[in-house]
Amino acid sequence: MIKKLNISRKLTWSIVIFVILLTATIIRFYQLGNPSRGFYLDEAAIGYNAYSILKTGKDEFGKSFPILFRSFTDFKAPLYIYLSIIPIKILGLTPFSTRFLSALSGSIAILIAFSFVKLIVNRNPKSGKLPINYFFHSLVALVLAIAPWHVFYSRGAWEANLSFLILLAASYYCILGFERKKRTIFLLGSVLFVLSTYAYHGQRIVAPLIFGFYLIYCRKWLFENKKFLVLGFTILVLFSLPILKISLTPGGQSRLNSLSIFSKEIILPWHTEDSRFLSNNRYLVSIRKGLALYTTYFSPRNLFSPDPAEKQRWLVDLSAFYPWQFIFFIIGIFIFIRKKEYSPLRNIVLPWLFFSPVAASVTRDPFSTVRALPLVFPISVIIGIGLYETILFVKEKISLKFNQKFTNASIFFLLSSIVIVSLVNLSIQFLFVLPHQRAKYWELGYSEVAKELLKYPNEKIIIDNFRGESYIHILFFTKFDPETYQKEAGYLELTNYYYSFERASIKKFGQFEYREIDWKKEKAEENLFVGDELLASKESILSDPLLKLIKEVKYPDQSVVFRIIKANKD
Amino acid sequence: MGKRLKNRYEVELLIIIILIGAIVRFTYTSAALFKEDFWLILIALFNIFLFFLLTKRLFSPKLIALFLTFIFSILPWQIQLSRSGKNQTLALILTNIFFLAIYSVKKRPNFNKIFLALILFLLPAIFLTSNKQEINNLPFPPNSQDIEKIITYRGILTPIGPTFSRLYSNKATAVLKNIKINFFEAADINNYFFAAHPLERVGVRENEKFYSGLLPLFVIGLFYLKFSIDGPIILWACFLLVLSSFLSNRYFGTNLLLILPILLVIGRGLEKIMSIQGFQKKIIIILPLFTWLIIEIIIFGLLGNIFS
Repeated sequence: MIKKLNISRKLTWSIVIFVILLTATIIRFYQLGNPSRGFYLDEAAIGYNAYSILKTGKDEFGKSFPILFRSFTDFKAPLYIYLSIIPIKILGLTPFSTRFLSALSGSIAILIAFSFVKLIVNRNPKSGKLPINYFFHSLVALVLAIAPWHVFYSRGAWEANLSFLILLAASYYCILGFERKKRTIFLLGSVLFVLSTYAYHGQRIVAPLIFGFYLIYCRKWLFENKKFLVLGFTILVLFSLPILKISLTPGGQSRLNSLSIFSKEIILPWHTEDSRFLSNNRYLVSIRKGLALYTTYFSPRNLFSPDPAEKQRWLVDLSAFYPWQFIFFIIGIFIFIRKKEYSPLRNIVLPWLFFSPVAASVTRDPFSTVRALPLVFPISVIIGIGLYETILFVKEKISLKFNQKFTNASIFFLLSSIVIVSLVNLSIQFLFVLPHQRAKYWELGYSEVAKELLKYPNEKIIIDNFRGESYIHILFFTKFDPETYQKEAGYLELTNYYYSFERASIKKFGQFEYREIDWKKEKAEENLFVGDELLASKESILSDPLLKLIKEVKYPDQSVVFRIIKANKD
Repeated sequence: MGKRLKNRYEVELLIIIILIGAIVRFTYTSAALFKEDFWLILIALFNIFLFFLLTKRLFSPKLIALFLTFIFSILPWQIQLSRSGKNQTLALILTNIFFLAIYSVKKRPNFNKIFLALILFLLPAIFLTSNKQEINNLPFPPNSQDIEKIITYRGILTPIGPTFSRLYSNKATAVLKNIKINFFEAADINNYFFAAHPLERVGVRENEKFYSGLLPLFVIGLFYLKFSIDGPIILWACFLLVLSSFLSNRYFGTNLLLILPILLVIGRGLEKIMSIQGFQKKIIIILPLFTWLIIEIIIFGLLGNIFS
């Protein structure tokens, strides 16, 4: 009888987990590739470089299988690009296939988070006192599944999201290996820690810190077998060598030099012109501001209130978590720190909590959600604890007056209602508000421009280079042949690939020229050209007999983003 | 008063602390303001003494009370206020008296006395921090920007249907959003211990309010608050956070009345560290904290522009 009850209980919770995973997958994949919701410059670069590797074995600059992708001299981490080759091969070069890996990583992360928390709280027999069960694990998975922070980065081609999954899996396998006393599993986790540094630059700081903590945590067991220790160390060094070697090049250090508050190359937002010796000492001020930046990642304002500072990397009216979760965060953090039953969870999750924002806090930007993405996991755990303990408390109080079935049904109804309302809000923000209010930041319009330009295969087309590196969007949406591009637009000597920061502002590939618009020249050569609304007003184009307005591409608010113009001599 | 200060060293240290407070205030007050604000500075100095009486009542060992009083006397926020804000200085002294009154009746709970203290000190303190000229900046009714946003949202959500768009974006949701923003700004610990990042809040001049070296003590203190003793502090802080949600702190600055609760929580944190067994352990925790605190006070505080 008890066995039957256990089986039915397990089945029920399996269904619950399945529903959570399904929900997580739907909200991450629904309308993922719709280009009318924007496709950012970096996403286009990731997609096109993966496409280029797939077709030619070389990136856009003609470099064979690079360890870092030069791109816009921001030297992107390579793993996301290499893994994206698979969906691009199967689905073709589209926004959906480029974002596929991130959305998949986001969905799998929920399962790993569930298994990880389950592993930690079940492993200590002392925790048997706490009625922690599938309910608690499911709550943590649910909080992560619906967290706007995690959903946001799952719905774009963000390397940080892939690296978050790898970091989570790395921690899971390390602790699993330690629990089952299986060194090969621990080694797998360790290798994943190294791999996460190939997925995102920030993990070059965060991963060693978390891994280092776990090494100290498992030191007794690890030192029992010294042969394995040496072997493991050798394997890790071998895996780390390429990224370590490349980190010494100017390209490998470019992110550090261009973002770190300790770098001499950047202008700090708080540095004054006051020449007082000590009070404005750059390094002393930077240490203090670094501490300030670190604490911002735990600030309720940043976690639960919309952040106006990051326009491109955030939703308009939603925060990292939902405002209603604030109360559970407060309850959760107090219980997490003070209640003895949570000590196994504390030992494993605290390094995540403390180390996740370290890389982000040495950069000059306020509350960077992308750089501190791993923080979403410990915060979800804390909110999960708060929810779980509150529900237990309420159940205890209510069940004195009502029967258990009624209590459970009420709690289920209330929780489901809150989750549904939150999801509706999230969907509204993603599908309607974001494309409308953040169109400029998400670079809407390029897919439409490319679609129009493809109608003129025999025309010479000039694209105004006023909008930065927009050539990549044209390459992406026209699926321009990578081999031709490498031959015609290549300007870099490959020996300088990791050393030079030179960028070409003029490019010529196929029928396209990427340069400043020269009115006389365009008219003389009868070119087709593309520029934004600042290039020329609609009235001036229509009144000029030598010009023909082919198409106006507009943002959802009906403001003009691009004008496609054809020049005629006659 | 003299009878209460039983230990001589306490009296001497307290005098030194008040003197330091006086020097700092006089040093960082411009000549033009000096005459006008002289009596305010005297009130602020008297407030230091009152604060000592309060902390003496709440903390053991008494060295914690002296430490907190010292911090109170050279607190950037306090100094900024005591130099320029008449109302705010008076509000702070009333809050101090309110807490003294509460903790004096706490031994023999008498709700009439608590109520009287509330009427006499707490309400005037809140009233004093509010600036009537800025009454337009309340989160309700929705301002022109809110209305503009409601209209934009309704336009965006038209495809879903007019009823839904009205439900999703209306005057009530706009007011709720304003209250939410105010609440989280007031509850943002980072704003108190560090000046907020210059790129975060447009148009707000960010100032350090507490020394960041005190933040670890504050965090430890938060986890070791005891409702039986610290109930009034917790309730006061919660009440102020709610109040601050309805009065934008960017204009009203009601959150300055959190100075006392925050300092008392810091005291609780220090008390917890002092209760740790073993001198070495205490030193390992306290030494780096106090080193950073001294650097902050001297370099950023006295030499720098933290008080401005």
